[in-house]
Amino acid sequence: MNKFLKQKKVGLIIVGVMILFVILGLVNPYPFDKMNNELILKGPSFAHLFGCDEFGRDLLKRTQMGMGISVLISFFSVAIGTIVGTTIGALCGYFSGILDDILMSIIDVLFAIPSILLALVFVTLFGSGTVQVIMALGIAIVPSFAKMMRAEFRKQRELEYVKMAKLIGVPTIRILFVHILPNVLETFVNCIFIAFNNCILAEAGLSFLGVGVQPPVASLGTLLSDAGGYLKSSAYLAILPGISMIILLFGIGLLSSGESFHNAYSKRFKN
Amino acid sequence: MSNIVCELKNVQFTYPKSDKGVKDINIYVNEGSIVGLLGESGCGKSTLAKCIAGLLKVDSGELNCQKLGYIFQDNYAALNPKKTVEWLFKEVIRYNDKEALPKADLIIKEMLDEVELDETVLNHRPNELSGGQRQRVGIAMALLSNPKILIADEPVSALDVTVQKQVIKLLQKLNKEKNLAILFISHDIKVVRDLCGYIYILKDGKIVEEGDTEKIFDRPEEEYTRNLLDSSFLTK
Repeated sequence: MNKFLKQKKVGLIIVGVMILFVILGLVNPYPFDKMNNELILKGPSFAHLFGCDEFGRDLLKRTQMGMGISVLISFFSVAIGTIVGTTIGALCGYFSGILDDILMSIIDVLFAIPSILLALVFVTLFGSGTVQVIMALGIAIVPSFAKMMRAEFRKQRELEYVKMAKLIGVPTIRILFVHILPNVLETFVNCIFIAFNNCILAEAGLSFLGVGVQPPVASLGTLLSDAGGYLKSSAYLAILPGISMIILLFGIGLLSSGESFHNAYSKRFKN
Repeated sequence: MSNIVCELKNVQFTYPKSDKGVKDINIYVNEGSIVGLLGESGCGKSTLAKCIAGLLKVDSGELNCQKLGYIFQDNYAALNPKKTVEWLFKEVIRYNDKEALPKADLIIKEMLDEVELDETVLNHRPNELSGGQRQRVGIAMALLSNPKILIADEPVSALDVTVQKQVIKLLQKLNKEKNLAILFISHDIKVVRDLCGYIYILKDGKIVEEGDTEKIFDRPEEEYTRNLLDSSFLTK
């Protein structure tokens, strides 16, 4: 078995299973928001595998939906953080000078503020809701992305293949993103996975604090938050969504460890 | 008299926060000639090469060079490790002559013949090639921009003796067939003597002596040149 599969197999399987879990939610017949007085706090059964919540809603459906929402929020947040952070990091690392000084001073200030606090400030200013959470988390992960990418681009710009590209007359923007970026892909991909995990946790944190996704829409954070009042009587309300989140985080964590996809896949292709 | 393809007048460059660099450099390279720039390690040869190529901005002086190609000292680092040789070749064509891009395959095939490389290298990345193949790829990339002069910055110093000979033969062939001027930078006295017709001796960033190869090796005027040549037992 090749190195790629050996290193990433478990992570890929776990993430694949969790994606399947979310997709199956689309064919789950129970509505995510329909309350049912007869099913309030009913424990797990064959009809409702995860049981029902304090409004009698199917917890499996809400966990599937919540995970989907959390993953989507994290996906868009990471996309924003990646694009903005990588662009800032690449420009600062490649050019240095006054641009680097100004941008990195701003990044240093942002970096000193805990990301959840930064997100809270954003949500307080612009209101709570899914879009606001995406924007807040996206901005919160920009500093770490920018710092990592700046260090990588600074290292690369001194290498002779970059000088060769300059001599050929390649435009700077192409040097940054077509010549250098593939050479820092390992760090880049690992940053994405780590940021993805952090976003899922931060989104859960925000929703737990009540400033994230708003009811009746569910996210992993709102499910855990809602379960807070029933930990003694109906612990499954927290345990089952909690375990689902841990499994997802574990799978993504495994994908971010070891050799990058790009390297491993190249070797596989070569072999 | 031949045309001058590259001329430097009183060129000066100093690294920031350092006194190292090159001072009062006056050199010229004629069309179709091979000129050597000889000096010990750390004397400023590569700095001067980078100034000529425009990779370092000179502090003062005049620098007039026609279109140039650059062969790097470290052929392993000079080729993007994540790209295939074909991609690298096409990148040069794209930014040298965009209109030639549709016939890039033909141009690349001709270039491979010229630098005596097999077509199979095209699908490989630089780390999958031997040192000699990589240097030939580097030379081909420099040639794809149709230069008038090649700046060869220690192009054979990282190669074993057999491959060194092959690469030098190739440079000689290109010089003859394409009437290509070459500024050959090296600390290897023997290689410079075999290849170059005119030599500049560089010491601590300054040209201390210059002349035809025969004159430099037979009747060196400067003490430093004599010591340099004595160190390789090549003086008469």
